[in-house]
Amino acid sequence: MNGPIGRVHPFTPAAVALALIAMAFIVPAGMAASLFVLTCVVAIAVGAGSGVRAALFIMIPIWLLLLVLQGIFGDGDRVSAPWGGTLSASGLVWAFSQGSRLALITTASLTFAASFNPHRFLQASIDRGWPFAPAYLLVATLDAARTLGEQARRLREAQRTRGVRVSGSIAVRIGALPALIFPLLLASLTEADDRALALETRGMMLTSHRYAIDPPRDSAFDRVTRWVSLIMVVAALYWRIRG
Amino acid sequence: MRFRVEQLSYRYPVQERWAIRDVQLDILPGQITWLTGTLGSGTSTLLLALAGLAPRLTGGTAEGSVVVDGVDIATLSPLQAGIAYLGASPALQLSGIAPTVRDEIAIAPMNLGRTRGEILEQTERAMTTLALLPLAGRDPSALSGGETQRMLVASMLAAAPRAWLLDEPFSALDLESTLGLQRLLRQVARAGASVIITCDDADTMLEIADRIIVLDAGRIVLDGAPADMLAGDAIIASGAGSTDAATLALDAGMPAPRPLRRETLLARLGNVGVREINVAAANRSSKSEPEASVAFECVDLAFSYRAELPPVLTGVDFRVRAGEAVGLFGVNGAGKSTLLRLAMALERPTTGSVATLGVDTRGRHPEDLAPQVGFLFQQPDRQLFATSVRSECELAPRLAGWDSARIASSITRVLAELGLSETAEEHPYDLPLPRRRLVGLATILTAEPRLLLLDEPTAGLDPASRERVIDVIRNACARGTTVLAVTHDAGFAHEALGRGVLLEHGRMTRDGMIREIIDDVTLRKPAALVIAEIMGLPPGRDRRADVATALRLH
Repeated sequence: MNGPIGRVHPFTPAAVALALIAMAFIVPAGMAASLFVLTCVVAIAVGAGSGVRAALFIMIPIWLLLLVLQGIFGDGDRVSAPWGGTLSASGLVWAFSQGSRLALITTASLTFAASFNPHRFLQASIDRGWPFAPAYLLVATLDAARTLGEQARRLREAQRTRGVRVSGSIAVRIGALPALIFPLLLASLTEADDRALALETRGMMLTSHRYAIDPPRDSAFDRVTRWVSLIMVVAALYWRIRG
Repeated sequence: MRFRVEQLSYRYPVQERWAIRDVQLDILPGQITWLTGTLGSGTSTLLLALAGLAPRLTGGTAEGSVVVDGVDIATLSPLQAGIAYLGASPALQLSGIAPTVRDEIAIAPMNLGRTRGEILEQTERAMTTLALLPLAGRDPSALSGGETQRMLVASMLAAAPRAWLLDEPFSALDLESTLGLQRLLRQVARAGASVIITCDDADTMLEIADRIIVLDAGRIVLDGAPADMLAGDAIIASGAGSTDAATLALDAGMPAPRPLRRETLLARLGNVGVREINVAAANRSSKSEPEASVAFECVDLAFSYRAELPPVLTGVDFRVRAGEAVGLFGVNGAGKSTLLRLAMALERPTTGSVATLGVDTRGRHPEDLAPQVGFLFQQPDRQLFATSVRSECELAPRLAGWDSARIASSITRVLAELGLSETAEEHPYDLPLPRRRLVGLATILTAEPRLLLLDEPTAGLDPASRERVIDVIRNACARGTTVLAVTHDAGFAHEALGRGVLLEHGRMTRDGMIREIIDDVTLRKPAALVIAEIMGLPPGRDRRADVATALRLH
């Protein structure tokens, strides 16, 4: 990934993402909304805009749905709606607060996923002397979406070359989905077998000590960022428990 | 490293048939052992068992044992035991964690616990040996099939194994890479490593193998010196096939022992009436035939996968007329497969234009061209998606609106032509890899396309299946189908194609009759072509059957 986020130590975005997810549960809804906006701005500034775009793509419909459902069916005092009728004030507040927390979690996760570089993460793990197999499994899990996407692309290409229509109106796209899902699941199972063979033949599961070839640089900025993330979580927790 | 195989039998999960049965073997270090047989004979399965991967990873049932240097292989991790394994689909063996070719190659020594200095040194040496330095910074998943094969061989070399187990390692390589790998395998065998290879290319293996083991239905039926075995009748009877020259000699009615190389065949034939042949004149006469409509055309074509990457194709201009069978040649990574993808509208030209069956592909989709255009992927095994071979074949004609009777009749015919009739109800993923390639071909042939785009249609096929593919393509051409095929198989090209186009570094550098192109490019010249030229047989009458007939008369 290009931009500053591609140059930071791979543990730093992971630590920040974990801290933001924890904060989403700890801090009040208003603060979660502020953190969500701040996360979007910072992520775009450091070159992880694709994660923000993906998060907004998922969250905007969810947020709207929450507002509509809670506004219409929520309990408590009711306020006038701009288009007539009334909406539940407490329902809208609930939808806003839960939507803010969910948006923060989604944005932090997807921004981290978008900035994730498996090679650098593994090199950093090896450099720290962490066990390789769990680190590799973590990386493979985080990379599963990309692998599945690649498999779907191959099957889709094969289907298209035989005349299956997958592009055009939304109805055509939705209609083409069932023809993809079963083969994709089957191909993924086969791929899992192939992956096991690759792991074995390439020595991925060997327990020998490994040396990093090009360990990522862990700068003072990285270390400070990670410590600040941890301190903010602890401080927020203390503040909420005490106050 | 010594492999002792004691009464080994193995069958895959939920299969009743034993894939290998009662195999008794002793493989000594310092030898190159060649495993061969017909499709489904069990060579790849035996290789998996020798690597300790079957049944440990594949599941299934095994009897007997494989002992490596006195230790049961079932208890060992292959790489740690000094065994490096290359599967028939190298792309499936990519780690998925390496951003560059250099990093991918470094994975094996890294996993073996080598120090940073050792990893870097072994990686550089492996890249130099396999001529991969120009690709060092490339994304491994974006390499061509042949480049991926070379990269994984380099990864094996970087691990410095004591045993090399390779499944069809030459299948996607150009001749230069094949010669390089042959040299490397000879070197490592001389240094004491055991090299065990499954391969259907007798000409390639004759040059390096110390021992040939032929399997039939999972049992060893022949075991001996390659030169003796290949010259005799027993290997022909087993269906494994012999060298190009020996097969021509067989067709010409020569008794065993048959000559194995072109030179010895020529010496045996004596004076076959050497005459001058003017290929250029023949070429001119063929070009004066009435011109057919254009089935494929690209004009000033340039293509790059991403704007920041160098172009894969530049200034490519050529056309294919309806009914022509044209081969695309060039070294690994020359842009051949990309050109096929552009023809199928799977990619869009960066500049210039591509017209397939008269349709400009810009703004078109592959489904607009199917089933008039049939596309065989380089890795068709990863592109099958139905639950049986029959249903896989039904899709394209069904979408084209054919009625059931016509679909059934076409499937029956195509499966019979490709020797797949018995597998019609099987799940494609239950078939061996080369047979899945045939299924991939069957899926497009059933819809009777007007244009066939084929990427390495004969890779990994046994001689009988290869002959079937040649016949199928010739018959299709005789019916007016146009063929554009990427291949490194000179024998196939000579037998099935009429014209060749050479791509070098993304540019088209030659376009001519297939025998001229085979002469020019680094393809191994088929024995039939050599003798046809000596006998003065004109283009079009220089194929193996014609030459064999001429030799019989001689």
